[in-house]
Amino acid sequence: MPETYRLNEGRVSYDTFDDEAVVIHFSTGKYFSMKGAACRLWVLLAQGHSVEQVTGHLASAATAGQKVAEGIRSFVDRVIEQDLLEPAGDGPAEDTPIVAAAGDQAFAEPGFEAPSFEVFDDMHDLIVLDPIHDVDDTGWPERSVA
Amino acid sequence: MATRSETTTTTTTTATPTPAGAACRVEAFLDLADRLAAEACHGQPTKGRDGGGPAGEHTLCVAGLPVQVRCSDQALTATVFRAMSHLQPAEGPPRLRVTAWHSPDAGPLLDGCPWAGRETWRAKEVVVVRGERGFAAFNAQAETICTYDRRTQSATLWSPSPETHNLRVSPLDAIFNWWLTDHGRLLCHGSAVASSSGGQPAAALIVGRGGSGKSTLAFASLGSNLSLLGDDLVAAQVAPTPWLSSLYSVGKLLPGHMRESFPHIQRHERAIAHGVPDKNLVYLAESHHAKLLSDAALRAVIVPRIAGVAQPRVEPLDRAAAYRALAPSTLLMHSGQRAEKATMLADLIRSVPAYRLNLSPDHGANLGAIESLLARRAAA
Repeated sequence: MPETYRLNEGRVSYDTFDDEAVVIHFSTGKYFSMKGAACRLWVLLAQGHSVEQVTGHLASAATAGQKVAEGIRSFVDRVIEQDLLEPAGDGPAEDTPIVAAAGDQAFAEPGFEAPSFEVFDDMHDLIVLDPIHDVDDTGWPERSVA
Repeated sequence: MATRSETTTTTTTTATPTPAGAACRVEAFLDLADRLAAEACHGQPTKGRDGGGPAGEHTLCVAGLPVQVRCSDQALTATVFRAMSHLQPAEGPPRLRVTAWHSPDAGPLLDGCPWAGRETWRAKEVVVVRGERGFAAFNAQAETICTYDRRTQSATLWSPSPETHNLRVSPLDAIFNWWLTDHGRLLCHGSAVASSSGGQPAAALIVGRGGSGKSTLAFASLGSNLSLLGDDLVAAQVAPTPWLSSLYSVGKLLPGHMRESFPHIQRHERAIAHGVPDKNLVYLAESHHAKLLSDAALRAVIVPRIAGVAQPRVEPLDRAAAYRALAPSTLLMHSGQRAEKATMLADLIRSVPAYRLNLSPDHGANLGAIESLLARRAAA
């Protein structure tokens, strides 16, 4: 089964501005800046493309294919660690072909650097001190991450 | 914002199982709150803005829409409307009806409720419940229980006393947050100032982390050519044109900061009250009414930075950085519709240019830089 993720709906939102994605986690209060290659990678994963499909698309034309694959793996692990994406489960992966975009270029360059992102936690303390528990009509949800 | 950031109680409980049957649905709770609020106001005569009397009902223009607010007694009326006394009376059928009341015990609202009981209230938990018909917020930190019914466009606010910090600084903020979002508007965390020198007022939304200079610029505007729309919370909309509206006319300043930087404000003793934890609350409609502006076209987003430079410097700022300065605190301070708000905030940031303002120690020069920027933007 392909390794596929989806946005952690209800707890995470993101938007893109030029070549930067800004991701906000409502429960931890952390927010993230993903630029260049990280932005492109994040968007593809959040759209539901599988890690295998994304790696195939971005690493196939890359000079440093193995390094790109390792960089993608590391990025996926980090976004999971930050609770930004969650496994898509048994649902079908986004199987539409990935359309080439300007952001792919960063992966093809010989000097490729593993995609990374900046973490901002200036709001984190506020959230931990005074968590807001979002509840739906059925009762308690998962509680805020301390 | 003030209440959440100024409290220190730390409580995080583990997951609690859903009560059997979850009998108290959101709809039922909205009806319960409506009933209790109506009972609290029942038989209370209502008066206009200057009518006095034991209860107060006013219809104010909030972000361009008529909002009717009815309070259960004079004390609550005085507190709630003091923070919004600069808003104009509105004509026409209200787009939102709010009933506010207070009582010593939250029990009638909390008993039997599956989301928040006396225990979570005592533990200072903040619980926000969403249902198809609306929202309820149990905010023990702000000492409010609020509901918002989307179907009837009505809301209720309960508080244990008529003079809590939240009521004194930003009454109805949770309700406004939900309702404004439903009406294509945003409750934004930021200050706003405007220039009227070019004819139609042109405003700048000033956003950024705590301590970045937002409130200082807001207070400094009182002694400048600029007008003030708000300190800390303002309403914004993108369509049909980027626009800012004032909500509250309360400013917060540490006493030392007031003494050192704004001694002229200290003269207005009757407009100053002690806040929580240590900040002075300045009711600007009582001290600087002529300097307040209700709304203006949004022309720029400014992210200040205390730079200590001799002369303030304005630099273009990329939109992602502006979004990072505005969105996290705006989205995290209130719950409900966060995903919709995030999208609207992104649209807002895309609608006008953003700038970094490197602040000098000279407040007048900083405001002059903003005035020049707004003049250029108005002419563009």
